[in-house]
Amino acid sequence: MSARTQTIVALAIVAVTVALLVRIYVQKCRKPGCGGDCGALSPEVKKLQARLKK
Amino acid sequence: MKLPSHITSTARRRAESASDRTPIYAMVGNPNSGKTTLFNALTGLRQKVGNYPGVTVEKKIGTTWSQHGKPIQVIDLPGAYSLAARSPDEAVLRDVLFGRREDTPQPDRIICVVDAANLERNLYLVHQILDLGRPVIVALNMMDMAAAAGLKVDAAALERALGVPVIPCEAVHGKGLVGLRLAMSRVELPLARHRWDVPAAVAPAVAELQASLTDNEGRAPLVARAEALLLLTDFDTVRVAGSRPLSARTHEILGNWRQRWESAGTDWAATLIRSRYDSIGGLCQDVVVRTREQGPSRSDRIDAVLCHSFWGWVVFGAIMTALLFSIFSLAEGPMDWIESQTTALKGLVNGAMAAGDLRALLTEGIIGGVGPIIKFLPQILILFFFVGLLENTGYMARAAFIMDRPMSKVGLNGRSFIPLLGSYACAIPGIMATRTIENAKDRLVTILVAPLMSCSARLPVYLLMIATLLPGDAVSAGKKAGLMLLMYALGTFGAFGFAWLFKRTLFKSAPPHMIMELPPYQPPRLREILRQMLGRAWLFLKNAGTIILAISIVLWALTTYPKHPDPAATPTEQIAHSFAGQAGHLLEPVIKPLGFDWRIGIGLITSFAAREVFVSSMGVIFGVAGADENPTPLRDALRAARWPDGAPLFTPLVCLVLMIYYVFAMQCMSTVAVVKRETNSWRWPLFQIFYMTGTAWLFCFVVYQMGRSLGY
Repeated sequence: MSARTQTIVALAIVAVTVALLVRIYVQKCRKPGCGGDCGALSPEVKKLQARLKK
Repeated sequence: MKLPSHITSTARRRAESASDRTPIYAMVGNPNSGKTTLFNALTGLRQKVGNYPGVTVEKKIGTTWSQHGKPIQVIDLPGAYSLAARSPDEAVLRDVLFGRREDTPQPDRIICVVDAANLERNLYLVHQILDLGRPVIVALNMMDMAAAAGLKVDAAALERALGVPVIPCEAVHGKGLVGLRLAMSRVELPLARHRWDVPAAVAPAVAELQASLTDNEGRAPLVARAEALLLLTDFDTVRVAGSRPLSARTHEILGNWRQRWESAGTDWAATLIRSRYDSIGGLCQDVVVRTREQGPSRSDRIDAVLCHSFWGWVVFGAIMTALLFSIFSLAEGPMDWIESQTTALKGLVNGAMAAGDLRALLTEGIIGGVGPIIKFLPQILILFFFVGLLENTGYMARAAFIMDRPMSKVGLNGRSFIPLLGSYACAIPGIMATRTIENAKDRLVTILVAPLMSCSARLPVYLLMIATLLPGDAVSAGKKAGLMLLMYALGTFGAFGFAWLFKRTLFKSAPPHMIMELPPYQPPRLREILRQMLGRAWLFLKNAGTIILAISIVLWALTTYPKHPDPAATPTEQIAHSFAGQAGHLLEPVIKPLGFDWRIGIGLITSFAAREVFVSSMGVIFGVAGADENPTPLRDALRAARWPDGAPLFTPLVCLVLMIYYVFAMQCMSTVAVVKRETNSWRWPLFQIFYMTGTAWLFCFVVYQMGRSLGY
C-alpha cells in the first residue's frame, strides 16, 4: 500500500471515529450518567435495559 | 378503645371483583427483608425502571402472571422500617400508599415482605399498612434464616391472628413463589382483622384528623384513619416533590393537637408508638417459638472481634493491605505476558506493512493506545474479586460500622460512608447512593467529596506511575502496595478533610445519628463473585475497546497532523508541531510549576473524558516519539523521556506529583454530569471542579517545589 493510500485510509478511520465520539457525547448529554459503564448495575438490570431498548 | 379496621363495603368489593382491570400490587418491606429479590423472582425481566417525577427515587414496575395467565402489575416501593418518612425514598412509599401522588395510582393490594428472622421489627410496618384497610398478603421471607437462628414461626397462627394470607417463602432459593402467585391470583382477598388499643386520650385527635382527611383530602375512611395515626406520630416532617400537600384545615388541626400535647407535657406520639409495639409483642409471643436457647449467634461472635474498637481496626487495616499487596504480587506474571504480546503484535504489524500513516495508526494509535490499558486487566480482576468477596460475606457493612466513629468526627455518619465506599469503584454509583441520606446538607457534602475517593479509573494511572517510579525487578511488591495504599489513604483523608471543612462553613448542621442493620455473615458464593468479577472485566474491556480506542485514534491524528514541513524532523519535533502539541504548549505555563511538560499536559486534557485515558494518551504520545521498528514497553519509554535540556521528565518526584494530581483533580466528565443531575444545578458541579482541581494544583505545587528544594 502506497504512503498516499495509507494516509487516505487513516484519515477515513479518524473521521468515522470522530463521528462515533460525537454520537456518544450527544447520547451522554441526553441521558447523563455512566450508562452502565461503571459496572455498578446488576446483570439483571442490564439485561432489562437491553430488552427495553428492543 | 377498640377501633375496627376491617370494615369495607361489600358492594365495593363486589364491584372490584367484577372489574376486568387486573389489580395493581405494591410490594413493601423493611430494608434487607429480601423485597427486591422477591420482586425480581416474581417479575423476572418484565420490569420498567424509571424515576418518580421530581425526586431521584427509583420507580420499578414489573409484571407477573396470575394462575389463569392474567398479567398482574407489581410496584416495588422503596424499603422502610415504618411509614414515618425520614428520607425521600420513605416519603415516596408513604405518599404512594396514601394516594398522595398524582403520578402513581394508589395500589389495590399490598404485599408485605417480612423477614421471618426479625419478625417483631418487621411487623411494625405491616401493622401500619393493615390500618389502611386494603387487601394485604404477607410474604414471610427468609424462613431458612429464622430456622437457622432457632426460631420457628407459625405462619398459620400469624394468618389467623392477622386475618390475611401469610405465605412462607425463601426468595433467594425460589421457594414459596407458587403459593404467593396463587394468593395474588385470588379474585377476593380477606381483609385484616387485627385490632390494637389506641390510647383513649388520643382517640379524639384521631377522629378529628380522620374527618378532616376524609372531607378535605377525599381519603377513604380507613386510609384517613391510618394517615391520622401516622400524622400524630410523625407530624409530616419530610415532604417531596410530586406529593399532594395536605389541606390548610388538616394542618391547622394537626398543629392544634401538637400544641395542646406539648403544653400538657405528655408525649402522646411516643405513647401511640409504644401501644403499637405492645400489640405486636403480644402477637409475636403467640406465633414465634424458640426451638433452642438464644445465645450469641455465630455472626455475633465474629462481630465481637471485627467490630471491636481496637481489633476491628487491626483487621480492617490487614484486609486492605492484603488486598493491595495481592494486586501487585499475583498480577505481575499475567501483566508481563500481556505486555510482551502487545509488543510482539506491534513488531508483527511493523514487519508486515510498509511505513506510512496507516501503519503508524495501527501500531501507535490503536495498539499503543489500547495495549497499555488492557495490561491492567489482571489487577482489575484481582481487585474486584476481593471487593466481591468482602461484599458477599457481609464484611462491607462492618466496614461502614467501623468507619462511623471517624465519620462523626467530620460531621457525617456511617450512612455517608456507604456512598463513599461505593465511590472506590466509581464515583457515579456512589453519588447516586447518596439518595438515601435524609439530611439535604449531609447529602450535598457527601456528593461533593465522593469523587475524592480513589475510583478504579485511577488505578491504571497509579499503576503506570508506580511501575515507572519503582521498576518491577528491583523493588518488592510490598513497597509498591505501600505507595498505592498511600494514594488511597490520601484520597480518603482528603474527602474527610473537605467534609469537615464544608460541615463547618458552607453546610453547618449537627451530625446525624446512624442506625444500621448488620446482615449475618454468609459463606462466600464463589459463582456470584466470579460473575460480578467477569462482568466488571467485560465492562473494562468494552470501555477499552470503544471510548479509549476512539480517543486513542483521535489523539493519534492530533499528534500526527499537521505534518512537520521538514520530512526529516524528529518524532518529538513532529508532535510539538501537531495540533495536540500546540494545545499542550498552551497549557504548559500552568503545569510547568508542577514539573509537567506539554506532553503530560495533552494527557491531562484528554483524560478529562475518563482518568484512565491518561495511560493510553501517554502510550500514543511516547509511542509516536519512540522508534517504530523497536517498540518498548510504555514504562521504559516514560523513563527515557527527556526535557529539551536533557533532564529526565518522569523523575520519581514527578511520578509522585502526577499520582497526587489524579487523587484530587476532578477529571471525569460523567461524574460532572451526574452531580448536575443529582443537585439539579450547575453551581455544585462547577464548584466541585474548581475546588478539586484547585486543590490538586496547589498540593502538587507544594510537593514538587518542596521536593525540588530538597534535591529530588
